[in-house]
Parts: sequence; structure tokens; C-alpha cells
Amino acid sequence: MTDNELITLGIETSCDETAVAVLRGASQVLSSKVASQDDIHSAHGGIVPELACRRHIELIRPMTASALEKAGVGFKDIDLVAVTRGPGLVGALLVGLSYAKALAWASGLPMVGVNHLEGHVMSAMVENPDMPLPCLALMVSGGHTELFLLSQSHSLEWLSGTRDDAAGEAFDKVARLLGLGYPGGPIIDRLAREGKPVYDVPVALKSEDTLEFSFSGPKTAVKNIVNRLKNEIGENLPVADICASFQSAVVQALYGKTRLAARRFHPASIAVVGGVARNSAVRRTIGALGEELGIPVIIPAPELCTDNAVMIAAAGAGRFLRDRNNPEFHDFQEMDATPSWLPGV
Amino acid sequence: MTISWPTRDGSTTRLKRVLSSVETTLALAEAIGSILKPGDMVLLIGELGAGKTTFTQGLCKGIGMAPGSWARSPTFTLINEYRAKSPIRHADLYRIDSPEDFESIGLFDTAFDGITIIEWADKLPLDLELGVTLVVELKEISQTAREIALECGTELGSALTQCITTQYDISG
Amino acid sequence: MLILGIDGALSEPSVAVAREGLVLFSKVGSPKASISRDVLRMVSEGFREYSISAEDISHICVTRGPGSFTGIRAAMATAYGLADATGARVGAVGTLEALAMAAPAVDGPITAVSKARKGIVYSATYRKTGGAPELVHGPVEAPVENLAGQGGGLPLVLIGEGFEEEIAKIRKNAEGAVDIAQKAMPIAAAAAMLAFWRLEKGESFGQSPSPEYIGRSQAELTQGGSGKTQPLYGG
Repeated sequence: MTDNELITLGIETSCDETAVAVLRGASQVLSSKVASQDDIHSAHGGIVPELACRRHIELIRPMTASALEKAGVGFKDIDLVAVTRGPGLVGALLVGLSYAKALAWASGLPMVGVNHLEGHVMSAMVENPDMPLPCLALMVSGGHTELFLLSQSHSLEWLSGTRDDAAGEAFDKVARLLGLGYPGGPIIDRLAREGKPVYDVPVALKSEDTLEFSFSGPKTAVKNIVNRLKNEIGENLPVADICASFQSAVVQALYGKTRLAARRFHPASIAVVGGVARNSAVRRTIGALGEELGIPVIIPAPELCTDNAVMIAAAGAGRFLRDRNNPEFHDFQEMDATPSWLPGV
Repeated sequence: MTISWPTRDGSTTRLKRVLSSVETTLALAEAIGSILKPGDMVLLIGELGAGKTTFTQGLCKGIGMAPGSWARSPTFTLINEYRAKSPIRHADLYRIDSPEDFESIGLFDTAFDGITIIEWADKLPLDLELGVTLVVELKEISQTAREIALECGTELGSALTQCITTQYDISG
Repeated sequence: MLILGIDGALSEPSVAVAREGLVLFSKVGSPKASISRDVLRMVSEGFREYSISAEDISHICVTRGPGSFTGIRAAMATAYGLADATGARVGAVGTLEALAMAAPAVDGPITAVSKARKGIVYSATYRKTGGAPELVHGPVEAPVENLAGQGGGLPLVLIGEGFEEEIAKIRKNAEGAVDIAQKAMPIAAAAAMLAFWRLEKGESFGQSPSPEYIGRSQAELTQGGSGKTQPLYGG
């Protein structure tokens, strides 16, 4: 088949979303199915690992069937299987990986084990296949806050990451402190629009000449503000103002370090990917960097920012199309999950 | 200390100290890290902001993690692995509510010959198959000061007592 | 009829192929390696050695638990993937009944045991008359020392895993004699054989079985989940 005809089945089960997608060529999305478990996990203020794994095994077959049906293809039409290998929850990864390996092996198909973070970075190219490279990618989610450089040869170089908490995790923990529910990001984003950043939440590592992030400080600062206000004015907290203050500190840190990295590495484009890239202030503030630096800033559509299988299919198809004859695409029987795997280090 | 954990040699040493600053906390954690051995398991207990992550970073430095690498919060990732003189696994039970959930994070699925650090360890009454070697409980007493309570077997305990009394000016 | 059996519930994963009621081959993995590394490797090695192609498989029978949650799900996901690629039908048998099936012939009841957590096991007691095990009691999730009471005056015959460390205590507390039976075949082979017998009898094989957990996750309990376990066979 030609490159444009390649049909890739993408499978993603690294965390709490069971996702399956079918891609034609490098970036034409034929279908994308995501079964989110937010409703299940919100009752517990976060993801419950065993529950997530149980949902994956229930959903992996029906989700695959439904993605294929939507794409109008059958199992026999698949040319390549791409599956998330890590990082993630091992019990969750193994559902998707075991299914994908068995399907590919018994069908005699090549398979690519994809890094979940690389998938997020490649999500920027799904809507923008001609994205100028090298691209500076800010990957920001519940478990990660990383800066990568995607080179012209599509290799990924890790530049820096958080020293402690990920940005999305800080959102969730602050939401929990304020009794706002889960997931915390969208709730804080909404409340912050109604408030003003009047409280002093420090922008960590702001003045330092490092590309690293730190979000443990802002989280602790909010805790101290909440404790102080509870003593002073009781339980009726100015939640919107606290959210605005916290969100502003997080966004300033993400903006500042991305800008610093751009000045250092002179990328041809900037991409902001991962679940926190849905945040309206992140999109607005970092989006404005494009004009300042004169390069495009690509922030995928919200459904491509959260975990999905399109990005896994795209990353897998990209790898395969660049190096079709590599025997490793057929040597996956013993491929294991890699629960902590930072690419490009 | 309110919770009693089974330690490997069945005996216990308990120490309680006040650490006046973040620097003292880091220094003590680093000193403790340097006397840990492969197979050891450290449990960390304390509220949000009590300094568990700071303490872990000190421990990891003491275990020999390269300068410039950081022990990150495993709240979302559940288990982080770090390269050091002895490999480190850093887990977090913040999101774990039941023994079944604990099983599914896969801490005991594969043989591991390194040092395991578990934050939010009081979330569960754990059946820790490998045996706990050290329990650290941190309490916030001011913005920077922390009270630390250590519980461990007598062998590690005497080494700890020595390193606390000889190297650090820590009030008891 | 070529039946592939897969088990991930016990600490050593196993796979087997049975043809018309005879075990063609079986393979047992290492408890040290992860299940995902071993299962498909063993299947592909076995198929190569016995010149079987994936399309030859008519049925896949996986053990659905109780046992290692992660192992069960990895084995089941493997079965699903093979089935979707080949069109084979996939069904499941209980881990404990397959263990009882794997036991050598014994006169009295046999208690099959799989490990839940440290000190906690799943167990069920079967009687083997004329081949297929018949459930007498269980399955239950309980502390391992409770196994001592399972004999009910009769000799207690145990098969499986999770009780070895406590066997002295079980022997001391049991009313009658306590014996440990060794598996006459890997549990994946027993699963394939059970599937064969049941298909021969015309029983339904199921199509997309689910794991059997017994112990519910705490989250499910606090959500007020139904907690109903699967019927013992089918799906």
C-alpha cells in the first residue's frame, strides 16, 4: 500500500480512558472513540486504579468494534497496530497492550509500541501535518509537565520537566483543598474567569535560568491562603479569586519557561499538548507567544488534548512510515509495558 | 506514632525530632538515604504540604540520584522509577483506596532489588510482602519547621540515632 | 476442534492447545517475568513447534479468576485479540474449577486455592466424579488459615497456591489429614480440556467473557455496585 493508504488501528489504555481510533495515512482520522471514566472517578476525587483496569477490560472489544464500524473498515483491512506501551498504570497498559499484541500477531501485522507522551506531542501534527520543525512542545497534563524538542527527523529530545508536581496534579489538589470536585482543571478554569488574581501565589523558579517547572510551591501557597482566610473570615471563601490567583501563577510559569526555551532553541513552531492544554488561560497566554516570537503556536482541539487513540495511531504510523522495513515492528511478542518511560532522555 | 508497622526484624526503634528548616529536613533525609540498602522500603506519612516530597528528594539524593534529576510526585503516575546507585521506586497511595487498588498499581508484580519509597502510606492497612524498614511521619509545626517521627528496626535505628546525634544539631 | 487455553490468574502463566480432547502441548511461564512478556511468546513458540497457524484455532478458553487481577486481565485481553484476529470463539472457565480439573484423580473432595493477597486466598471445594469437577462449596475469599476448616471431617486435599507458607498451621488446625496435590497438567491445559468436555456436551461457550473478581474493589463497594459475580461458566 502507499503511505496515504496505510490503515492504522490505535489503542490507548494508559490511564482512565479506553480509546481506540482508526487513521488513514499519517493524519486522516477515520474514527476516534474515547470512553472516559470521569463520571466513575469523580465520586472518589481522582482515578481509582483497580476500577480503571476493570473498565478497560470490559470496554476494549466494544470500543474497537465501534471504532472500526465508524471508520467503515474491518479487522482484515488493518495494516498496522499502534498501542500505548507506557508511561501509565501497569494494570491498565497491559489490557491494551495484550489485546494489541495478540491481534497484530495473529493477523500477521506489524505493531508499534508508542510512548504516551510522544503520542501527545504528535497530536499537534494531526491537524497540522505540515507543522514546521523543529517544534518546541510543552506537554502538560495530570501526570506530566515536560518540554520536548521535536526535530526535523521527528526524533524527540526531552529538555526539561517538573521538579515535583505536574501542573494538572496541582490543579486537582487545589480543587480538592477548595472542595470543588474532580477533575479540578476545568472547574478551576471556569471559576477563575469570575475571579481576580488578588492573592499572592508565587510563580515558582520564575527568575531562575532553568527550564524546569515546580508546582508544589503554588499548591502549598494556596493551602496557606485557605488556612489564613478560614481563620480570618470563616468558611465562606472567595473561591473564584483563589482559583484566579492559583491559575495565574501556573499559567505564568508555563508561559515563562516555554518562552525561555524558545529563545534558547529557536524552534520553527511551538505546540502545547496534553490535558491542561484545554485550559482557556493556557491557550490564550501561550497562544500569544506566537505573535511575540513570529512562529506558529499549535494547540490541538480539546478532544485531541485529553487522552485519545488518534495521537497513538499518528505516532505509530509516523514511526512505521519512516522506517517500514525495520524488523522490530514484527518482533513484539515479548513487548512489555513500561510504566515509567520518559522519551528522549 | 499512632500506626505500628511490622518491620523486618520485628523490633522497633522510635525517634522524634523537630527540624527547624527545609534545609535541615533535606539534610537529614539525605543522611538517611545514604544508609539505606537495596531491598529497603520507606513509608512516608503526612498531610498535604507536610514535606513528604521534600523528604523524598533528600532521600533520593542520599541514595545517589544524580544532581539535576528530581524525585517527582507520583500521585498521578503512581510509581516513578529513578536511576541512582541503587534503583529507586517512588510510589504514592494518595489515590489508592483499597487493597485491590494497591494490587493493580503493580508494585509487587515484578522482582525489584532497589529501594522503595511510598508516600501517603497510611491510606491503607498494607500487607507489605517485602517488609517495611523505615516509617517516617512528618507534621507541619510552622511554615518551615517540621516534627519528624521515625520508626524502624533496631539495626537501622542505631545507625539512624548515630547519624542524627553526630551530624545534626536537631532538637529532640 | 482446536482449543487454546490461557491462564494468567496463577503466579506462573500457562498456555496449552488441546485437539479433540487431547493436550497437544502446554507451556508454563516464569513467575519472575511479567505475564505480558510470557503469554504471547509461549503461544507463538508452541504454534511454531506444532505447525499450528492462528486460523486453526476454533475456540479460546481463558481462566477468568479468581486470582491475580492484572494477570487475568492480560490473559483475557490476549484471548480477545486472538479471537478478533481469527474469528475463534472465546469463552472462560473459573480458575478454581480449572485447578480442580488439573488435579490427579482423588476419591474425596478437593479444595482448589488461588492467591488473593498476602495471607488471603480464594478457594472452592470440588468433587471429581467421572472427570469434570463439581462444585461442592465456594468460591470464597478468606484468610489462608481458614482452609483448615474446609475438610469438614474428611481428608483435606489442597491444590493451587498461596497456602504453602501456612501449611503447618493448616495441618495443626484441620480435623482430618491434609494433603497437597500436585497438578497433573498446567492449568491452561485443564482449562482447554474443560472447554472441550463442555462443548462436547453441547453447553454454551459464551462469546466475550468477563473476569471474576469475588473481592470487590472498595470503590465499587462505596458506590453501591451490585457486586454480582459471574455465573460459573459461560459469559
